[in-house]
Amino acid sequence: MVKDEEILDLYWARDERAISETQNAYGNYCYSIAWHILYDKEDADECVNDTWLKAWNAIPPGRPNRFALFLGTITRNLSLDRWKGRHAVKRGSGEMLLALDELGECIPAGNSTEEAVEAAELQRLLNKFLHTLPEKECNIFLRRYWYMEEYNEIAARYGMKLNTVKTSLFRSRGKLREYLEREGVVI
Amino acid sequence: MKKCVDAQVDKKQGEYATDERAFRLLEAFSGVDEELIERCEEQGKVIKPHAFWKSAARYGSACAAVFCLLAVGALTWGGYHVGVEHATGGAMESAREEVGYDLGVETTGAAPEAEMYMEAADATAGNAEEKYTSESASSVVLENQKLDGVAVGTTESDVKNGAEYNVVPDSGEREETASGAESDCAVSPEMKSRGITLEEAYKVEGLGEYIPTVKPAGYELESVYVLESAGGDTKESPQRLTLCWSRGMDSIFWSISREDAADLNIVDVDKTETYDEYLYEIPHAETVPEEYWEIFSNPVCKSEDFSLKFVEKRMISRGGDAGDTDTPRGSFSVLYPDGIVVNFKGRGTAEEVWEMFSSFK
Repeated sequence: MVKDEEILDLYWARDERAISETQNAYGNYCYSIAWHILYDKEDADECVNDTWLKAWNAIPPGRPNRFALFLGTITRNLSLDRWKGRHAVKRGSGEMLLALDELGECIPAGNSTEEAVEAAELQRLLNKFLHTLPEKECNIFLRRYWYMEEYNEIAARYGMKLNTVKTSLFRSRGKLREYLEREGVVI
Repeated sequence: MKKCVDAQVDKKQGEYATDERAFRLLEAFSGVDEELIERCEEQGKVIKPHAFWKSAARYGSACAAVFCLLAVGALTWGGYHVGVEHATGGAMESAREEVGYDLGVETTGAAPEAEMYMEAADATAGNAEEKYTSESASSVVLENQKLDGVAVGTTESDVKNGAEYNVVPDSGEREETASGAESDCAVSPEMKSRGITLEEAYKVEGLGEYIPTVKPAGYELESVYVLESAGGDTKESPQRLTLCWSRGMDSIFWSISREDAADLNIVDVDKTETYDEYLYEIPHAETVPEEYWEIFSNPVCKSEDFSLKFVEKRMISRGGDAGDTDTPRGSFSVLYPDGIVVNFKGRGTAEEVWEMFSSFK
C-alpha cells in the first residue's frame, strides 16, 4: 500500500496515478461514507469519483495532513448535497431521514425573527460541544452523524449492545440540544 | 375542512422546516475537528472484545462434540475403559459450559423488550443474569473524600438523563415517561430547574444534607440541579435536588425531594417478593406478579428498615453486557422521618451504594 505522503507527491507532480492510488487506498472508505448517506450504488460511485476530482483540483496547492479525513469530508459533503437535491421535492425514506429526524430533536426552539447562526459558528459550537462529551460517547455520536452508520453497525463496531448505543445517542442528542439552547443558537 | 387542510399544510411545512434545520446541523458535522474523527476511527478499529466468545458460541458445541467423539474413540481403542467416563464427562462438561454461555447470550436476546427497557433506562434496575458477588464489591475502593464544590454543567439534558424512557425497537423512536425532576417540570409550569454548583447544593435547606459525601471510585460529578419556583422563592416551594455522577457509560442519579408518604410505595422489608430483583427473570412484565408491578418498579424503604441487605437485593449485575460495564445497577428510594425521600438510580456495587447512603446524617 502506497503511503499518503507518496500519493500526495503524485498529486503535486500532477501525475494521474495519484487518482488510481487514491482509489486503491481510500475507495472503499469513501464509498462507505457515500453509501450510508445515499443508499444508492450509482450515486455513491459518482460521489466517490467526484471526490477524486475535487482532490485533484485542491492538491496542490493544498497538502492535507490527514488525507483520509480530507477525502472523507469531501465525499460526505458531496453526498449530502446530492441527497438534498434528490429529496428537494419529497421527503422519501431511509437512514438519512432517520438521522434528520433524530437531529430534529437537537434543534432548540427559536424565535423566527432571530437570525440563524452562521454555518461556521455552528461548526465551532458543535466542536466545542463534542469536546465536552466523554470519548466513547463522542465516538458513537460521530459514527452516527458523521459517518451516518446504522445503530447495529455501531454496536458491532464497538462490541456493544444495540440498546446501549441507542441510549448513548439519545443522551448525546439531549445534551446537544441543551448546549445549543444555552448558547442561544438559532438554526 | 379548510382549517384541517391548513393544519396539514402547516404540519408539512413545519416538517420541512425542521428537516432543513436538522440538515444544517448534519452539515455542520463536516466541520468536526480532525482529531475527533481520527480518534473515532482509531477506536473503531479496536478488535471486538467478544470475538472469541462469538466464535466459541458459533462453533463451540460442534468442536466439543468432535473432541468428545475423538476422546471416546481413542480411549476405547486403547482399552482404557475406565477412563472413558471421565474423558467424555469432561468434554461434555466443557461443551455444556460453552453452550451454557451461548444460551446465556441467546436468552438475553430472547427478551428484547425487557432488555431494551433496561438498556434505555440504563440507570434503572435490571434482572438477574449473574448473581451479585460480594468479591466484586469489595474490590472497589470508595473515595472517602468530601466531594469538591466545583462548578458544574448546566445542561438540562443531564437532568433529563434521569428520566426513564423506552426505546422502540429498530425505529429509533423513543417514548419518554417522565420521572424525577423532569416530570415536575412538566406538570408544574410554575416550577423550573436550575443548574447549581455542588457547594450551593449543600446549602439548600432541608435537602442539602442528604447529599452523599462519598462516591464510588472513578465517578465524576456531571450536574446538579435544583427544582424551584419560577419566581425563585426556594424557601416556600417544594423542591428537588438532582445530582448526577458519571464514569464512562456508568452513571448515578441521586434525587432528594420532600414527598407525601401516602403517595409512596413503601415496602415491608420482610416481603422480599415486592422488591427483590433476584427473584424475577426478564422480562418483568411476565414474571413480576401484577399486584407488585408498581412497588417493584420504585420501592421506597423507610430509613429505619434500610439496610445493606435491602440494597443488595436491588443492585443487580447483568452478564454479557458487551461493550457495556458489568457494574451492578439498580434503583430504589429511602424515606426519612422528616418526609425527605432520596431516590437512587444508577450503577455501583451494593457496598458502594450503601456507603453513599451511610455518608450523610
